Amino acid sequence: MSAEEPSERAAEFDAFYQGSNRRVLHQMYAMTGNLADAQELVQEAYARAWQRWSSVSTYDEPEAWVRTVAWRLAASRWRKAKNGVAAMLRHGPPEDTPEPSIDNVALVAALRQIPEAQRRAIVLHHLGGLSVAEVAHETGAPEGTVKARLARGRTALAELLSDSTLAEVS
Amino acid sequence: MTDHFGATDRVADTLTALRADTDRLALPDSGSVRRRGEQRTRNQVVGSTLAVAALVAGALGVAGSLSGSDQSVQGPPGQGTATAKVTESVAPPVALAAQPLLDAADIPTFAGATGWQVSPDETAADQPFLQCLPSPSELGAPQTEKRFFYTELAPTASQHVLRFADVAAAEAAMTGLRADLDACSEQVAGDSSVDERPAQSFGDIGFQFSRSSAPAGSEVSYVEVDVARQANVVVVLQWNGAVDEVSSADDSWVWDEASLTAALDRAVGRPARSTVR
Repeated sequence: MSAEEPSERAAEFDAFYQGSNRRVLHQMYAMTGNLADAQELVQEAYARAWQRWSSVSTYDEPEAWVRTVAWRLAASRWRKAKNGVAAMLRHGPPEDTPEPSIDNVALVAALRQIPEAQRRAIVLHHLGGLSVAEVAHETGAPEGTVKARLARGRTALAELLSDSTLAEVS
Repeated sequence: MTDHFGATDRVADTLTALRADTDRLALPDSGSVRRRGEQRTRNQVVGSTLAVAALVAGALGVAGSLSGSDQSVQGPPGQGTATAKVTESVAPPVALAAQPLLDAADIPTFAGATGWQVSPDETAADQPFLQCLPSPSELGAPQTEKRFFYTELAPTASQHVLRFADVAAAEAAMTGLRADLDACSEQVAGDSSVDERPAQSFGDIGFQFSRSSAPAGSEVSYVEVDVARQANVVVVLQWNGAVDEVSSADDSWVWDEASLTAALDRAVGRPARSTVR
């Protein structure tokens, strides 16, 4: 890709970016529990999408591709950092990390304590609006596993937030 | 939002509150993001060319001028070093390492499968791991090295290292392999799941594919295909076995990016890297 890139492709990407970046940022924030991480991961994922735009633009769900890449980047960083999330919980976020608003401090702290897979399932299903089957497809897990993650994740959230309604199943 | 699982939307309401935080966070404009992507592409091209050039230099017996150090190979792109001058030539095909295949001890532990052994019958590697996927041996590579791994339990694995005449032929083979896997995805029944991801360490030259079948009791059948390319060399790794729900629930792959990179490095005789990026 270069300056000779057809402007219509750039325009197509720009429209995609502008129409979805806030949504992906919101979801990544919920998945990572860290504003700075979410911001960086989203930018990197979209940059990679532009690198492969000729392919990504043909996908049924380019946004899902971006979200998956962002998630994988986050998971990769956690693993490389050897329990970096736990370390962050112990030592707190870096000084320059934007802090959650007062109203969300407890929620962010609770999200950070939920296992990664449960957190991801909850965000995709409840915030992203994906069905269980779609979550299973995006995460590569069987539907039964996704259901179990959702149930356990909700229960954990409810306990951490002392809000029993979060775990209720109608 | 319709809750397909039947749970309350209280969770969605709770998570939506996070928008108050993200709304005060700035994101760059799309032009900046595109420039970042283009910069990544340039860096990857330079980095890849540096690595290939170093391998060629080593083959020509001029490795001594590179001090035998990985740092001279993997230094930041754009620096005016003697190594960088080597990269001005077009990246040529690379040869396979003298021992391009993995050993049994290199197979990652996954789903509790340990005690891997190398089969004395290398043709066993051509058995279909996915019925819809032809053996990599059929991709037309002039040179194919393969190995089959097994355990006392059910899981099996295979590795194919394919050396093509040139980069274009390797790219074409990967395109064909990708098309076959896409076809596999379409054939998967509704009670199975397919996941796939780009192997980001390799830029555009790697991808991974997995399929989990419908639960049968407490187990699911899991198949993973991992593909990576360096210049004209393609490495295909496959894994097949039953995993329990606990194992399948941790979002992990048999081959993570580090181990897949290591397999590719082994195939082309590149020194192992301490970090994967």
